[in-house]
Amino acid sequence: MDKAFRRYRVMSFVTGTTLILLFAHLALKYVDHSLWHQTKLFELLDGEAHGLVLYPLYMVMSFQFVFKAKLPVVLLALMFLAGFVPGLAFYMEYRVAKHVYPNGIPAKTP
Amino acid sequence: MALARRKDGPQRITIFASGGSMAPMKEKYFSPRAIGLHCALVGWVAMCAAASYWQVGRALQGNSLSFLYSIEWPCFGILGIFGWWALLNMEKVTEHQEIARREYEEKMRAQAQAARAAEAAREGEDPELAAYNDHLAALAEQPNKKKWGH
Repeated sequence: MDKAFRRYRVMSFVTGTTLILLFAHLALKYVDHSLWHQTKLFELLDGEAHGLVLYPLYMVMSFQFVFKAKLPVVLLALMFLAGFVPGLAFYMEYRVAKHVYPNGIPAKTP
Repeated sequence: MALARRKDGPQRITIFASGGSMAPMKEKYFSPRAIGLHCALVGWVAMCAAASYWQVGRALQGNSLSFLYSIEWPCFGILGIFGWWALLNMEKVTEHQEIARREYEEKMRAQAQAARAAEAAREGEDPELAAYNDHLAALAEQPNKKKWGH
């Protein structure tokens, strides 16, 4: 369960970061249109990495964690939705960690 | 002569393991949680099917990224079916895990006991042989160390 939580946490950080970068790049369109146009390749790479690889992995990892920690399934739906709103995945991870490990996350054991 | 019913045998023929009662099945598939899971599965698969249909249409119009998405969405739908099944059978899975854990613990205990027995048997051993065995054990503990020359 701890391992599943660590995997979920890593994926929530990674997908949260790629989503924020994606939205930041979309916002750049209205700030500096020419720069946005020049860096469109970044949007393609980041967007496809997020949509095709990282978000599916995030879903699998959060499912494994909910499954192993026997958390309510509604939380899984919330985790999935949190992956759509930039920044919310971090907050979700923080709340879930506080809920599951009220005394702090146990240290890694070999 | 009619077959006499054994006193200690089953008093009635059981078809289902539950003795003909549908209660466990009802609990498994018709509990509020299970019904919620069924609804979630239907919604999820419908969403994945709609998204697949949309992306296949875009792929046929020549969008090469949509080609990838039209593979991804059906995979999501299948993963949803797997998740539905896993969440319905969660108790069974955790029971398996519990049995595996107990077996592992017993195995480790047996190993520790065997090691203790070997230790006890080694008490009156040749000191030179014991030293050589210790040397071999130390070598086995560092698998990355180059062993040639020994």
